Amino acid sequence: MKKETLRKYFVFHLVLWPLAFSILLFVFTKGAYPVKIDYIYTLVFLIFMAVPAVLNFHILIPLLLKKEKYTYYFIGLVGIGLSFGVFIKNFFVDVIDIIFPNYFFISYISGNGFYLVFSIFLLSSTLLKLAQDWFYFNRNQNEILRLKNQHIETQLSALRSQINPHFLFNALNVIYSMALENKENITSAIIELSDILRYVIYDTDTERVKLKDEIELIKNYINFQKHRINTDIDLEIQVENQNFKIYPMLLLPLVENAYKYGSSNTQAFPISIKINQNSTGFEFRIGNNKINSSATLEKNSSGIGLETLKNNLNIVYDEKHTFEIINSDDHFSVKLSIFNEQNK
Amino acid sequence: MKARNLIAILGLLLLNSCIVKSLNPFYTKDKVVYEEKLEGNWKSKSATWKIKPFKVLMEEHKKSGDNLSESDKKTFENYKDSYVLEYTKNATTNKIEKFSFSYFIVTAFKVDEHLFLNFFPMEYETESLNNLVTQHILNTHSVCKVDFLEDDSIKLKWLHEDVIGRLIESHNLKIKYEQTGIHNDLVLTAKSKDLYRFLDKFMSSNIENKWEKDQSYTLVKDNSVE
Repeated sequence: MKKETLRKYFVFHLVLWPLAFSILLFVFTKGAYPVKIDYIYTLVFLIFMAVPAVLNFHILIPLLLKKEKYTYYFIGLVGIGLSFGVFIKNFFVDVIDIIFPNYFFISYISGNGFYLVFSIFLLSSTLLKLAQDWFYFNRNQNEILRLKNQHIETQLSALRSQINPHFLFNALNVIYSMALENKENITSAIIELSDILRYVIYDTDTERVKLKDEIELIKNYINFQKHRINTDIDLEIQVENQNFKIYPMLLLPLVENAYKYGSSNTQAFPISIKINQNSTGFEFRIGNNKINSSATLEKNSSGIGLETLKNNLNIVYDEKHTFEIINSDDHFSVKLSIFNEQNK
Repeated sequence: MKARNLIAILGLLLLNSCIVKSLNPFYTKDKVVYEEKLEGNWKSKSATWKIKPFKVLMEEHKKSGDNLSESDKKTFENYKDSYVLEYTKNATTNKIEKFSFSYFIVTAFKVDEHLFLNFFPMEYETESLNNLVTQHILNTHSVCKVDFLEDDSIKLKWLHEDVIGRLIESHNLKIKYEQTGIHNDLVLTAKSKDLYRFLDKFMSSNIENKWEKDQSYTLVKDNSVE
């Protein structure tokens, strides 16, 4: 027997028998102050009850009840109850009289009272056993859940740490390009980048952020990109609830991808972005034509954004989202839908 | 039989409140026996005892022309194997001589091989107690063990209150009882089944002084009385 199992076993019996003794003593003395003969009677009665109770705990419950054989368990319990009930009713008095010839156990339980007390004890002890099992089961479940959450948090944290340098790398490329071209508004670009980074670094380290903050991030990003290349952006926003909450940094990687594959240093195709939020959920669509039709998403050395996004969605929204990518030779579009969930 | 005021006279007549009294009989119906040897006239040091089968008394009652009421029929059915004891205290200088006679229903029953008698006062004659007093007095049962002696006499030994009291005080006995009156007289309130079980265990136990001598009576045949 494992140490933990042994400990549970002792704890259970350490609770059960003193408790049962106290209750039975109270029952047999009918609330009066117990005296020697009451202690003796209760003790012997409990010893008689121990056999069926232990059979129940160590045979019926583990072999039948815990294996969901409820009918067999019920039959077994009734069988034990009846057979030992009859035994106790017919022999308990004789046995206790033989053991204690000079004690007169007269006005205690008799007749059907034996069945009643015995049945109540058997049922109560079964419930106590189940309660103990539930307690340990619940504790184990909570521990498993805690470890699982810890694992998810570790995963998410790792994924976020992949996004931040990815974005920073792209942004620095833009600043670098502007510096090469000696553009005058490089300072405002740096300030805009600073705003974006403040949000990414400080505001996204949470379970959920407001949708309006994510939209603001996208707008800042678009403004920042304008320093690099003048792309036509068709941004359509229909949001019923500005405080609708979503997992942070879901949308930016998609906008980044659109810029990455829809523009070059000299040319840019328009980018269409539609953000829709209503009572049924949230939907984000983005699409653009490709500059370089041979470019393959995700196989690019720096294209870890979409894969990271997919992983995040699977962890955070599991069955509550769809993520569709249409990637033809000359067109790329993504549709992300998040079904409504209680705002956390 | 003319109905009269009833009182618990066992204490007054026999044992001075020292016997064990019970609200319920000490026997169960299945243990009742009829012992023919008990019938007849007996005498002790200070009293005469006339023991008749209860059913004979009822037959006499029928012959007298009185119709049996439903209550009488029920009583007859309950005590058909019992006896009626007419107990008459001999005249003495003691006040007790005023209670010239009394009637008991006596029921014989066996505990293993031992014969016991359950006494229950049925009727007695008194002029000294007024109606208000008699309405406060409750009839109780008592029990005695019967030994048939070699000289054809019988010995009745009552279960003594001190014996039960000692067992209760020493926490060796758990039985339902109450204590009542200014002297805290002990009255057993347990059911007949439990009282019988007590007697059964009591007889098989090795308790000392089970039967107090001063609560025993030796009855010898009294052939002088018709």
